[in-house]
Amino acid sequence: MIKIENLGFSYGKTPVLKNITLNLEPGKIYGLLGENGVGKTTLLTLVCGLKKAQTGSISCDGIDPYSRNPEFLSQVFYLPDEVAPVPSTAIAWAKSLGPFWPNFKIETFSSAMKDFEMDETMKMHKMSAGQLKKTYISFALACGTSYILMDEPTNGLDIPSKAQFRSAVLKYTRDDSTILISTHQVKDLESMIDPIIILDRKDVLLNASVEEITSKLFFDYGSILRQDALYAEQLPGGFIQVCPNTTGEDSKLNIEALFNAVHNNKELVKAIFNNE
Amino acid sequence: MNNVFSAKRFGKYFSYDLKHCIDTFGLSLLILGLMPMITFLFASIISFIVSGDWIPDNTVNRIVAAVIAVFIATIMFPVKAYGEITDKKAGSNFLMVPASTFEKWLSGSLMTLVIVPVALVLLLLGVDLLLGALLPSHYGEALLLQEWFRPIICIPASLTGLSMDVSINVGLIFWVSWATSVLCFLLGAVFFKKSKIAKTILALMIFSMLLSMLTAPFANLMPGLIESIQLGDAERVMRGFWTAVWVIDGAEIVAFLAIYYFRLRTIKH
Repeated sequence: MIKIENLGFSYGKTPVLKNITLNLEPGKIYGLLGENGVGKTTLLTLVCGLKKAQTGSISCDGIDPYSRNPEFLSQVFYLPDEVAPVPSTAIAWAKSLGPFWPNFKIETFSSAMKDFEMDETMKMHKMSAGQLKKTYISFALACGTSYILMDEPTNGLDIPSKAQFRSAVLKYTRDDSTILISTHQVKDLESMIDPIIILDRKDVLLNASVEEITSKLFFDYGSILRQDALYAEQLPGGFIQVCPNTTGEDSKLNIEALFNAVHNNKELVKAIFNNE
Repeated sequence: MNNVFSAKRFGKYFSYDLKHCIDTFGLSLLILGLMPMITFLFASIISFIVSGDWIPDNTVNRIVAAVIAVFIATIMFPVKAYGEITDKKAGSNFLMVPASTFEKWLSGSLMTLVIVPVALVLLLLGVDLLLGALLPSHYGEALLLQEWFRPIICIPASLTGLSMDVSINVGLIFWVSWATSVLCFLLGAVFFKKSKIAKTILALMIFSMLLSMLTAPFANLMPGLIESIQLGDAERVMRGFWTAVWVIDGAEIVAFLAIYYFRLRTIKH
């Protein structure tokens, strides 16, 4: 379990994260959403130990990530937005690097590469950005770690690869893994992320499961504009509106609309979810 | 799990690091190791064009080629093999490999101070030996077979005018010089984000100037030192001189290695 308490981080005199408190539980795929520059990548790099928390604390199963000790590193894989090309074939790279992670399976890597329609004998420095990303995703899934942190994993992927990514994540990750995915491409991941975390400048606006969100907010796809809508957007043939769910009616979550509703009504949404 | 050092994990990391070094610097090292052959071929072609004959004595060319090869390896290897640590993408990969900072540091230090110099010297001398054996009349005698080419050389008192023979451990001097220089460039590689070699040279120049200013007062001791040697106390003075040299060089190497460890431990992306 990842415990983040009163986390603060600044770049020089510019504060990015302030008093962030979150608990990330095993067996869930968290979607980390937020505007540009709110600190999503910073949060991920803090959780994987690439940066040191300036205030507050982070602990992954009781270990401070910044210790970067092998016990912690062997249980985490961080996939950055941009990945580095390596002057060797994908399979040779995976075989040389994989054994550092105790649950790594080369068969899983090969299988995931196959699912992505990738040639594992291809030199990585000759791959396109999308192909390189798919190789790293396959490797991340093959490591079998407790924590998988992904920053914009679908950036650079072509349309079929996005569906392949979704099914690969569900197919190859452990049931007890904690997966944290930072993304702007909400439509790519809408069907798989649950819970959803919405980060604002220096605050967590929302951290709730899809079930909790739909129990408290109603997503109306009708053609009549509602007075109580927190957010409304015209679509061909009607609207998508987000309203407080006063009747307990079930609805289908639209993450983009949710994000905009939360963003436009920060205090109100926080009050709704904190039962104030 | 031992989070500082595990022999099994270190072995795994060392072989991974070795593969990484071969991928990034292997070809360059091979070309540098072939420098005696390349120089010989180049000098022979020039000699043929100019005089229509083989070069008369190739020894100096070979030594110059080897020195150039060592110099290029000294400045290039750290940047090629470990310079990527400052790059956000590759540096993150390096830091996230499940091995301890100590293991990464030890592997990098061994690679820089032992594996690469040994590999380069073996290649240079091996190629030299091979060419000397294959073309003895044109290439000349291999350096290893020449009388003067020894790791410890003895300069007789008759040559120096001192009261005793002076023996100099050239092999150790070579290694210590390599170690201090390559560690400077290693630190440059892991501290500077861009123009790593140029910035390291600039930093070294500034450091040397500061050091000269600090040590200038001690230059007054030199006449006394020379006088002591001439007065017949040469053995004691030479022993003291070399002890001071080894202590200073040893301290320099330890300090550079400590800074390298500190950098690996604290670098953030």
